[in-house]
Amino acid sequence: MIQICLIFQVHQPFRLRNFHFFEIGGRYPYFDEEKNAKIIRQVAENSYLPTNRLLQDLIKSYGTKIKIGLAISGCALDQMEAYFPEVLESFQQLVATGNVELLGQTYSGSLSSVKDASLFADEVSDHKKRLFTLFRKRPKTFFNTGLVYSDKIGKLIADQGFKAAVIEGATPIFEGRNLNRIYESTTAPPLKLLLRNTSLSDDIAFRFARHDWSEWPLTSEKYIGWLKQLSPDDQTVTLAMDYATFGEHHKKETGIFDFLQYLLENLVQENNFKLCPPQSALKTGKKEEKLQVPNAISWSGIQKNLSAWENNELQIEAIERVYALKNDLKLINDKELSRNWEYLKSADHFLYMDEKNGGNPYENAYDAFLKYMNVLSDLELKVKNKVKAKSATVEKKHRKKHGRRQKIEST
Amino acid sequence: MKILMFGWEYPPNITGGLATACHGLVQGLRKAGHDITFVIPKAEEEISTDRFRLISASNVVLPDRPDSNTTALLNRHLPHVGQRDFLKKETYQFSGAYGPNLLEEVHWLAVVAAKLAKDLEFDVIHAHDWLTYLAGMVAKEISGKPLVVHIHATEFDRSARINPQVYEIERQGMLTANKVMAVSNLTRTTIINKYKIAPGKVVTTYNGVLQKNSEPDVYPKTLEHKIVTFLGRITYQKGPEYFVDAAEKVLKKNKNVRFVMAGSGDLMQEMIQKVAVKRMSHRFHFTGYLKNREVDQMLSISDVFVMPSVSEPFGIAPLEAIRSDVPVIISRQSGVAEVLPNALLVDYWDTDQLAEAINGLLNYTSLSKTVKEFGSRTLEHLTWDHTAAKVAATYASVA
Repeated sequence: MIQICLIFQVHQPFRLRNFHFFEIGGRYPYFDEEKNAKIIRQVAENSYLPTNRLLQDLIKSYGTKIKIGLAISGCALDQMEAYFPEVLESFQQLVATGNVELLGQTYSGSLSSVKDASLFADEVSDHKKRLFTLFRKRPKTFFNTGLVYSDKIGKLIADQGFKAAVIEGATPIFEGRNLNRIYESTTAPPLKLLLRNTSLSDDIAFRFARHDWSEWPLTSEKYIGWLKQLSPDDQTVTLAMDYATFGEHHKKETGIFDFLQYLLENLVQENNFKLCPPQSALKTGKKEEKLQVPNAISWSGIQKNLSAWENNELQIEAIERVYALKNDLKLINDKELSRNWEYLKSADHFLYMDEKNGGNPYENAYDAFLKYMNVLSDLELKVKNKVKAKSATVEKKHRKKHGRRQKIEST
Repeated sequence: MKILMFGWEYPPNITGGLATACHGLVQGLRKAGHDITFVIPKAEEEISTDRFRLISASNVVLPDRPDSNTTALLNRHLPHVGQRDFLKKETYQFSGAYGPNLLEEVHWLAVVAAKLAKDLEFDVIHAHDWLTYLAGMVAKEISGKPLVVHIHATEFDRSARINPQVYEIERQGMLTANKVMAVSNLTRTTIINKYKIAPGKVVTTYNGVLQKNSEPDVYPKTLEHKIVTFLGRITYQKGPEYFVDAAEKVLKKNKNVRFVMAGSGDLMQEMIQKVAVKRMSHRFHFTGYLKNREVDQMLSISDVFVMPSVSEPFGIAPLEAIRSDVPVIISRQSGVAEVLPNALLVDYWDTDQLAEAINGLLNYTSLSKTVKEFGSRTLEHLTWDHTAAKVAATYASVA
C-alpha cells in the first residue's frame, strides 16, 4: 500500500501600487487594491472555485477516501475576505467536510524562518489564529515559504508545536535517498519530514500542458501507471504544488480538471493506493531514518537553496531593511503599520528583484526594487515619526510626574 | 588591408563622441594588422607611425592644372566648386570646425579626396558620417575601390528640423556605398526606414570603449554632497531639459545632492535660464565644455551619470562613465542601451521615472553597486578589438 499525500498551496501576495518616491511621507496606499481584487477574482473563478467544487463532488461520491492537505497563507485569506468572500466560504465548506488537513506557515509567506526566530514564532502563531477563527482547525504539519528548511528551522517549527513538515525532495543533499519515505529531523523534539516528490509534482504543476514534453499529453492512466511502477520500498508519495495549477496556470482547456478528477477517482478505486493528508500519512508504525540538513534548502530554482531570494545586493538590502523595523514596530504597537509591514515581508517581493526568477510583474529587477523601496521608505518614515511621538509623550509624562514630586518636596 | 579613412575630427581634436570612436576603431584595426590612412580637414600635427598615417587635408597640394577625369568628376559631384576656384589655390585651408561654411568645406574635402585617391594605394575607403561622404564617393569613383560608410549619427538625430541638403548627401553616400555600418540597431532602422536603404546592405556595428587604465587618476571629492552628472553637448538631441526637470523633482525630496551639467551647446543659455527660474542654481551647476582630463575628473567625483538623450544613435559617454565606476541611467531611446542589457533604462520624457532612478542610486547602496557591477561586466566585452573585427569582416565582404 502506497500513501499518496496531496498538498496544495494557496497563496497570493499583496501586490504593490505604483508608489512613486514623491509620495514618500504622504498618505498614500501601499497596495494596489484594484489589481489585487482583480487577481483574486480571476484566480478564484478560474481555479479555486472550480477545483473546490470538483473536490466537494468527489467527497460526496467517495466520502473519506478523498483526502488532501491545504496550505493557505494569511495574505491569501485576507484578500479573499476583502475582495471575494464567496471563495473564502467555498474553502470553509470544503474544510468543513473533514477531509482536508490545513497546514501551518508564516502569515505572509515570509522568510522569517531564516531571518528572525522570534518573529517567525509570531507570524506562525498569527496564522494559526487566523486558521482557527475561520476554520476551527489547528495545524500540525508545517509548510514553510518555498519549502525552506534546515535543521535549525526544523527546531523552530517543532518549537511551535508542529509534528511534521513538508520539505523539498530533489535537493542535492538528498541524492541517493528514497524520496518516497517519511524521515525524521535530527532536532529535539523530532519532526517528521515529508519529502516532496519533485518530479512527480512538477509533471503536473509545470509540464502538464507543455506540448514539447515527451510525455505530453499526460493522462491519469499514464500517471497512475508511473505510480504503479514504484518499488515496495516506497511508502509515501508527497505531491505538493500550487492550487492555481488547476485552471489558472493550466487553463481549463488543457484538460487539467479532467485529469485531476480521473486521477483521484482511479486512485480511490485502486487497492494499492491510499490518499492521505500529511498527519495520517505519518502513522507508519516504523522507526524513521534521520535526515540532517545543515544548510537551508528550498523548492526554488535549480540550486534548491535560498538563492531565489538572496542572490543579489538588491534583495539583501531590501530584506535587511524590512526586518530592521521589527523593534520599532513592537514599541509603537500600531495595528495598521504592523499589518502593512506583515504584507511587505511576503517573500514574493524579493523574488521579483532578481532577473533570473521568472514571472516578474515588474519591468525588471531594478523597477521591482525601486517600487518596493519607495513603499518601505514611507513605512520607515511613519514608524520613525510614531517612535518620536511616543518617546515625546513618555518624556512629557515623566516630566509631569517628576515635576509634581518636586512640588510636593518643596512644600 | 590598406584602408583610406575620412573623418572630421581625430584626437586631440574632440568635440563629441566621433573622434573618440574613430580613435578606438583605428587602434583596434591597427592591432589586427590593418594599415590606416586617416584624413581629416585640419590636424595641428600630421602623424606617421607604424601602420597609421594622419593626413591634414589642409596640407594636401591640389593639382595646378585641369586633369581630364577628375575635373569631369568634380564638375558632376561638386558643381559649385568652380573650376576657377579650384585652380586658384595650392591648398585649401579648412577650419575643421562646424562653422557656417561647413558645406563648403565638405565639398573641398572631396576635392582633396580626389587627389589622394589618385596618389595613394589602398583596398577600401571608409567614410565617417555625412561630412566625409562626398569625399568617399569621389574617392570610390576615381579609384574603383569599394566604399563603406559609417553612420555615427543621422540628420534625424541631430536636429528636429531636417536640413534637406545634408539629408541628400547622407542618402547619396549610403546609396553609393557598398556597405553601410550603423552604430546600433536603432540607427540601422532609421537608415532603412528614413533613407530607404536595402536592409541587407546595412550592418549594425557597435562601438567599443577603451578598457580601464590600470591606475586611474583619483581626484579628491571636495563636496560633501552627492553629485549627479549630465555630460555631453547641451543640444536638443541630448535631452538636457529632462535632466533639469528630473533634478527639480529629486531636490524636492533630497536637498543633499548637486546636479552638474557639463558641456556646452546651443541650449546652454536656455538651460541656465530654466534652472534660475526653478530657483535651483545653488544646487545645479554648469561647467561649460570640458577637456579630456576634466572629463575624467568630473566622472571621478560623480555618484550618478545620466544620459537622457531624446535620440542617441549610440552614446559612448555612458560607457566612459561605467569605466570610471559611476552607475549610469540612460534613455531607452539611445543605441547604447542595446549593448547594456542590465542598465537602468528610462524613457527620456518620463522625468518621474528618471527622478526615481536617480534617487534610488543615491539612496540605496545595493542598487548603485549592482548597476556598477553589471556595467563593468558588460564593458569587458565591449572592446574596440571586437568592433575592429566586425569592421574588418565588412571590408572583407566588399573587397
